[in-house]
Amino acid sequence: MTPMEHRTPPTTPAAYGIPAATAAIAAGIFVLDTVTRITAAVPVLYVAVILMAARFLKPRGLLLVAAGCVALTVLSFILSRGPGDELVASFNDMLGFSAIAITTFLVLRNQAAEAKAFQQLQGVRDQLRLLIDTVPALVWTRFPDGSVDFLNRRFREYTGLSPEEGAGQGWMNAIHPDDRPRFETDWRTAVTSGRMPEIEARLRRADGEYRWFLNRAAPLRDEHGSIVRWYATNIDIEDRKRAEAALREQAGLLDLTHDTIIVRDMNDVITYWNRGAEDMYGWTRQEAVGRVSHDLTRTEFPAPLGEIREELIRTGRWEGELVQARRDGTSVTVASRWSLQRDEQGRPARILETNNDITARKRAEEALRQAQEDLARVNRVTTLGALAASIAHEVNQPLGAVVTSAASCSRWLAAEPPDLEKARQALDRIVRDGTRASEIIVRVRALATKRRPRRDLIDVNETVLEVIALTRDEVQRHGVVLQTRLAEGLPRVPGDKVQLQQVILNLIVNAIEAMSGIGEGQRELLVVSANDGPKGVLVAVRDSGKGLDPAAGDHLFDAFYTTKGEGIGMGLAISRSIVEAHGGRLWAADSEPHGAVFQFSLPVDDELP
Amino acid sequence: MSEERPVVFVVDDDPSIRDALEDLLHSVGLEARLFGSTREFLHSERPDAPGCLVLDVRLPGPSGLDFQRDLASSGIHLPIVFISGHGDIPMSVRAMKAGAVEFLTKPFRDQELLDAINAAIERDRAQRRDAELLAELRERVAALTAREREVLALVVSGRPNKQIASELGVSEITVKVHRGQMMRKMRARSLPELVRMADRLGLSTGKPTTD
Repeated sequence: MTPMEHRTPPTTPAAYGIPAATAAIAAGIFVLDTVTRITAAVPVLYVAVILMAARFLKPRGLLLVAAGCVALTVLSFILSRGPGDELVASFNDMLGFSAIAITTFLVLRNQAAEAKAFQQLQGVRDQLRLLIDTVPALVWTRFPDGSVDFLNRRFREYTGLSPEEGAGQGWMNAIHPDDRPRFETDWRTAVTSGRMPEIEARLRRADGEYRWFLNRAAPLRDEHGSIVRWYATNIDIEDRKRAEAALREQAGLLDLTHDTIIVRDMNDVITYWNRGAEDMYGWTRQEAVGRVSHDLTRTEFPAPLGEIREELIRTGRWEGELVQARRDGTSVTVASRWSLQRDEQGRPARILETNNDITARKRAEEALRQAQEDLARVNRVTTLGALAASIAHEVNQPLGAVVTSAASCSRWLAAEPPDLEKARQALDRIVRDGTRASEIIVRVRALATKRRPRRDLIDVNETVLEVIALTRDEVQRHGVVLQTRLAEGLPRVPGDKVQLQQVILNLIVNAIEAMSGIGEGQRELLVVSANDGPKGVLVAVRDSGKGLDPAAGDHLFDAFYTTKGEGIGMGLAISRSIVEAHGGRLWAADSEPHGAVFQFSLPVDDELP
Repeated sequence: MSEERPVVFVVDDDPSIRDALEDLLHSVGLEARLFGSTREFLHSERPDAPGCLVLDVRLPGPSGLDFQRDLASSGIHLPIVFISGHGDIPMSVRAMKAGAVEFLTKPFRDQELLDAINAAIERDRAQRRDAELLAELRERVAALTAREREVLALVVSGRPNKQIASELGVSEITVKVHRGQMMRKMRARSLPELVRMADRLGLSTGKPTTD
């Protein structure tokens, strides 16, 4: 056993006196025996010597002491032998020998039993030591004065301190300098109060790296209640510390984001509310936590909340736009994402909601949409302006018929006798033609009026024919022969009729324009409608002009690209954006044997964005 | 003189206008033939009767004005009344110069159109009468002998019998006989009447040649 491992308590000076006293007693007995030698059985007193010697001698030494006592008895017999008393002396000596022998025997047996018990104790102690050395903790004991009593192997291996280096206060060097004062303060408090708080401190590893440990200590008290020792364990909590730090860091990150992050339980009661949420809604975390989120933010949902919850439970997530109110009552539009968290049993436990303020984006989108709508309308009105003569003609035509029919009607009534049947027929025509004129005006007004796009199911052929009606005079004035080849039984397409008319109008006006450079008699315009696969409808406007300018390429569809003197070059750009908003596409190609064909396809299924 | 019932031909691509015009013409007892295009009109059988053409200026393919020119060059002399969706002065001037009877802008007053149509029919009647007369004169000329035709030419050029006789190298008496025959065959009651006939026939009424 090394002193470091376990030191025996300091020996008292009285303990060294026992062998001396024993020897003195033995000498005293010898003198008494030798001097007296008369009646008393003095050698019996050697028993006391043996009993005293047994306190500090092993069996072998004890046997020597016993033999010594016998020798001293014999010696005093020889020295004091006088005539006549041999018998008595011999008897006394024999009595003394017996007492020495019996006592020695008993003492030896007792010592053997003690030795066995000691060995057993030693075994238990070794087991305990092994246990202490193998537990995954640094274990040590200190005396109340602070000096180290014991450091387990793991302690020594971890710190790399030799027993000597760790002795006394040396082990303190293993504590991180920053943590040392706190450790010391706590320790002093513990010594006076008898209670040791848990202390977290960094301990230096043999390689110089510091790791966090949790120190726990408990006092051992003697029967009077005063503290004898402190038993302490140090547990490595570095990993826990790091995880905590990482968590803290992540929690800090959650506060850094501008997005709002809200966690709520299945009753929509807020359990977490990050800095972003504080900033956006104006409610502090303290104010928000515990409130029902939708009440707090006065949320308007895009769908019934029940349906949203159903989707959330079914798919684990939901996304949508919400309109909410801030603390000051102003409105905010957010893109909201919900994720469902389940507990170990798989039951819905809480909902993570992240909201992104898109108010400005929505406003910008609305402004852009408005600008596009305005531009499209300008294009329509401009195109209508170019077609004003043609449109006037188209209105005038049925009106001319109306006036003529009215005149006829009047004549039939004035006849002798009046021809009422003829008059009625004339009136029928007046109604028909008046209606026709009015329809054209309604159509033109629809093209010219400011309005929101609609989504109806549209008959493409009807749409084409209505546009052609508006352009007929324009076509004739330019000496263009217009033909249609419209497929029958086309499916209706979802969309805005006015917008699609605008596209067709643009294409026809462009085609007429494209043929102005070639001789009359060769100007042919063909408008075709057809199925475009099973799920689409195609409209093509084919002219017999000079064809596409190879240099133009796809710039044809760029805004402000124009080859015309007048016009701002928006027609095709707007047309393409309209067609694409309908989920279709618009493209151009050269036509055979000459000219160009502009066509667009529209999806039949309502799978629009 | 033909006294057949006049026929009004209408070419307009707008069915409403056609229907209305047909009824209006019927209401005043005129017969109407309706066509959606000039091609239809050209391919139709036209009765030998006085008539006129009511023609829309703007038509698919060649315009009404172009058609007017084409008709004239192909010998169809129907008087034309133009109707137009939008009046445009250069267009009407061109039409009138090319011999149109009237140029009306829709919507027109019914009486205006009917007056124009009646005027056109009257013009056609006159044309037809003219044409008939000319044909008869041609027949009369055809019936003349070669000598009588020579005498006719010299008479209408204002030469006296004596000069004619010397130019033809015959006696004055012979000239008188031929002249009498010629006047009878031509059914000319006087020299001025004969001159008008020759004029209509396009025969030379040149100055007397002096020899």
